[in-house]
Amino acid sequence: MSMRRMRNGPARPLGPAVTRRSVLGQAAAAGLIIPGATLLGACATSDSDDDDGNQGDRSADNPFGFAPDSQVDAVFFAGGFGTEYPEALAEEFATKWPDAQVGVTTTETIATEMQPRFAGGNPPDFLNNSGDDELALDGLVTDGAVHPLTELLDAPSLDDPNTTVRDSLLAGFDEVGSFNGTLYALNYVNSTYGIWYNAGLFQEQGWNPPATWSEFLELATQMKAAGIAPFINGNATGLWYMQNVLMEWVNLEGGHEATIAIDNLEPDAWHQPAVVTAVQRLQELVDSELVYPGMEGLTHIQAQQAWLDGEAGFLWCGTWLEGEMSDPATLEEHEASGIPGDFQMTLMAPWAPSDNPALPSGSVRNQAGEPFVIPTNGANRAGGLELLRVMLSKGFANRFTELTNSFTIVKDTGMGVDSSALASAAEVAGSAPDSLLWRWETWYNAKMYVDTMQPQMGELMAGRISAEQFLDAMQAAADEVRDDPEIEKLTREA
Amino acid sequence: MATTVTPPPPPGAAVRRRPAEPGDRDRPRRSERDPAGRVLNVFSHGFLITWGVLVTFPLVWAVVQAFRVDSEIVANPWGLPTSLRWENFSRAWNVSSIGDYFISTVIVVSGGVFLTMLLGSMAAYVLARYEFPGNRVIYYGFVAGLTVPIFLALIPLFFVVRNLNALNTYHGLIMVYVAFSLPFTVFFLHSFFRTLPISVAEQAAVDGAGHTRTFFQVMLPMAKPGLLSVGIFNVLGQWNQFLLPQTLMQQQSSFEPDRSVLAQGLVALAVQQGYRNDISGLFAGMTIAMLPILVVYVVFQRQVQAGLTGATLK
Amino acid sequence: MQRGKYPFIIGFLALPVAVYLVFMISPFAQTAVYSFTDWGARTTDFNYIGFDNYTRLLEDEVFRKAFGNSMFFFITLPVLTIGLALFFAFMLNVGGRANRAGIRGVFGSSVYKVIFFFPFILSIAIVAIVWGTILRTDSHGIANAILMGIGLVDEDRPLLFLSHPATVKWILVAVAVWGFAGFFMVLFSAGMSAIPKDIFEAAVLDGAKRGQQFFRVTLPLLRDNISVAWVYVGILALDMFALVVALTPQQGGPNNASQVMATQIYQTAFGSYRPGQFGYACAMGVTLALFTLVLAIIQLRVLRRDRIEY
Repeated sequence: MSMRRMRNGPARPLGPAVTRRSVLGQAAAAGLIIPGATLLGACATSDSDDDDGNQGDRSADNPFGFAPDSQVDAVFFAGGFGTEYPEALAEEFATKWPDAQVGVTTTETIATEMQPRFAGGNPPDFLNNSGDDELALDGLVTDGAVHPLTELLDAPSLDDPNTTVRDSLLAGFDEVGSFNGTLYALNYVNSTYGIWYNAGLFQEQGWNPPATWSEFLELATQMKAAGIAPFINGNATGLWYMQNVLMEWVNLEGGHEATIAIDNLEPDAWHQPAVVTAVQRLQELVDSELVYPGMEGLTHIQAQQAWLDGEAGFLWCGTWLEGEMSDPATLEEHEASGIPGDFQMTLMAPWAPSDNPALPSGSVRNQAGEPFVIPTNGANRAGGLELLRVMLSKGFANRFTELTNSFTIVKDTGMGVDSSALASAAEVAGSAPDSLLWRWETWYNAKMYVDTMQPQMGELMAGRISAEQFLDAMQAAADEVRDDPEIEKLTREA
Repeated sequence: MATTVTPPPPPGAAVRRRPAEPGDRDRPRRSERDPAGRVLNVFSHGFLITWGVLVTFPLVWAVVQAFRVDSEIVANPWGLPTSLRWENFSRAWNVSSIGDYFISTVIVVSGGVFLTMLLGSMAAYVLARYEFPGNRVIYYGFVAGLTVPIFLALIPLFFVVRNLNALNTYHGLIMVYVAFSLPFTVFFLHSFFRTLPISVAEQAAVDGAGHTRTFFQVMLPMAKPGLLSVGIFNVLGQWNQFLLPQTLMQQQSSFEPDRSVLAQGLVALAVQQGYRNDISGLFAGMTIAMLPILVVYVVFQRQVQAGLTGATLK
Repeated sequence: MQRGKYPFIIGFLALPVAVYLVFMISPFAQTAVYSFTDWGARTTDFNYIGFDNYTRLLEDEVFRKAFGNSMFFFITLPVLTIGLALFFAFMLNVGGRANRAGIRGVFGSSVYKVIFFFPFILSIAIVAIVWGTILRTDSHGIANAILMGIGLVDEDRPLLFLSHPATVKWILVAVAVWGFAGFFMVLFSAGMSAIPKDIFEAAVLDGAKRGQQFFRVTLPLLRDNISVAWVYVGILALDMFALVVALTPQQGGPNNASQVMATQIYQTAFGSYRPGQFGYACAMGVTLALFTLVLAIIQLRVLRRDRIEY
């Protein structure tokens, strides 16, 4: 089954495409994936300069020349953020443009359903390109299939005509989704990632969130005595989450030099002491039986539910967790609440894999995710742009946070939401002394993550390979990438 | 001199003879006195019952779970429903649109099976009973289609259908169903038509009936049992088909209606399960989807069996 | 013969053949053509590259693994399915009490047949949903729950079924047998009941025991059915696409342990993170198709005997 994953990470190289592997539904559904190519010579390399997608006159109130009575075809990913906010967005749009019609489609399998439309020259006007089955962004950019969002960012924001959209957003929103300085995908959600636990349970038991490895081990013993598995992760679909656990530990333990070395494909980067320590800790989790029995075959949803039911103490996730497990639609219709009433979902910064990490405790990963793109050849591109502009308004941003319990990248929004999850996330993000970061996973996604890290992580967490074998495999993959002339290499200094 | 020689009894026979006992005349010779048979009988029932349980239990369990709430299912997979949660079914029908998928499927399968049977029997009849150059080629052409998996044709097929502007249409999907059902139908009906006696056709010719009339008024009625069996197999196959509709029956814009069929809907429900917590709804949807097949199967049991017997005799 | 034979033939064949050509043959043919190109994920045009795709196939390690797995299913699935089906058909037809009328089937055989046949007609999505839930890998999975209840499985070490590389293929075989065996049971049972009773009676008179009857009489007479069934199950085994995709983690996992040729083709074509793969996938597809065809022909030839008239 599929894994809910958010896009994070920086601009992709214009080299190997970087989609995740398909999943149950998308694959079983037997893709339609027409790989971008069209024998019929439809879209491909269209010239976005020629065709403005204009349908009417531009004005301050209507910066893209949107025809007020036209139709806008919008497609959304039906994932952790649910399917209520798209309808809310359509409503919001209708208050400004009452004569327009917004058609909303939601699907769990974006590429399966959208690639044929791109290939056939009739993509939607507005696309939430997300999920395990998302379209590879760098491919879309190379093909000219998505419109640069510069004109969106330069346009006046909906709330205040004197402020551009760009200025109404939090700094750093365009670290992700940009290629060579131009933004192509707008990542809407401001996510914090880390370890989650039940604060209520901890209070009851007199437990404290650990900051070092030995503190964690002590706590783990107490948890096991109480019949609770210390750690859980749905390894059938959630191996990406384990990758995050590992890399966060590497970053904490070895500082930024460690992750930069890995990102820059330096020789033997995967055998740095910090990396070795981190992987050994993973192995220790398995060998000391500190993980939930049978988690190898659970989906991330099943694992999260088991955690909510009190069978495990810690899991790794992002701030979409609460929204994902408490789908409002199902809640109303049947009483199977994913989240027990007395559960206090709380985020904490990951503990370090040793007792003296390089980075200070409390450092977390905080990044924009959940990308939105505007296809170049949408019939009503101006409508798509306008819809995105409305989405970036404060009014809708607040509504989004209300509905999904997640923060957006729009400044001064999302206050006053009653949720322990969100409150703890805000606090953790706000008080973090340093920011955790790595890029290799998206830069060299195909070879290093999908082909190597994912299966090897599965084997490691099932106890079928050792830490050394894991590290050797990762190093071999890194060396292969470095020696491959066809893969564009990227580097970073900091 | 002996005029007949009685061959010696074969070795086994001697064992079977036993001295007559009082009461032989009243008792049946074999049944109670066949210990090997009795043991085998018990064994047989044992195995058969075990397999029967293996087959029915998973399905019955799933249907029972459809009446429970998610939290109950996860906490205790064994349990019985505390109350019958019909809302799971209404949720599957409405929110998950199982109702719409149902209707779509009925439309597509009715059209598909009707046309398949019509075109298939026409082709099979001609190929079976008329000599002409190219007969073998065409026949083997149809039969070869049986051995190749469908997804090999998927992408070019998509373009073919698209060029005919038939994506997300009932008629488009029906034509594709027909094409992919023809190999089996032609293959089966071909051998069936071969077995029909020539005399009847000749009689019709003498009576002045043309080829077409002979076919529709004489041969087809005679082929009813075969047609029924093949028809049922086609209904089952097309009802459960999902690869083709998943490829060809997709909305091309948010303003087009969703014409997905049931199998697509089920897979979509299963995918959703990976993103949400609604396993009771999943089982409810699955139960709804299973019912018509179950009904068709139970009602047409005998025809299916007869069809299989016929197939084995060719 | 009647007049107007050819117009009639053409008239009746035109539509079926046309539909078949347009929607089935033409797409297959196009796939064969594309196998000689480098049509891929990011290019709008493509080049003919001759047999490059095919030579690449010979060196592809993952494809070879998939090939090995496909062979595994190709051997185990027919043996288990048909073996089981014959076994049960025998009991259905012959496992009953013998009486004056001769040996007959077990009581209630028609009811059994109705039940056994059922899984075959279920949609693969249903099969996957039910078994995927039953085989959940922690203590909440009903299979594990049963085994833990009996004491065969330790609570801290639940069985991983589909999530362990050593067991995943066998579980897939088990589910496939569960789905298919019933169909063949009924098929063989029908075949057996078509055998005239006097042959059995003659055998019994000659003193044949049940076992001998089965192997010397029934089996040879069923040869045609069995050979056709073998070919059919063989084709299913070379496919296995739906089950692998629906039941295994990462569709062929864990770690490619259950990858088969069909899924490998699919992921090469539709797992679009690597450009230039669609032509290659077509080459894989053509290879698989040819392989299937050749195997089917060989099987039919080898198993063919003169038809036994009775």
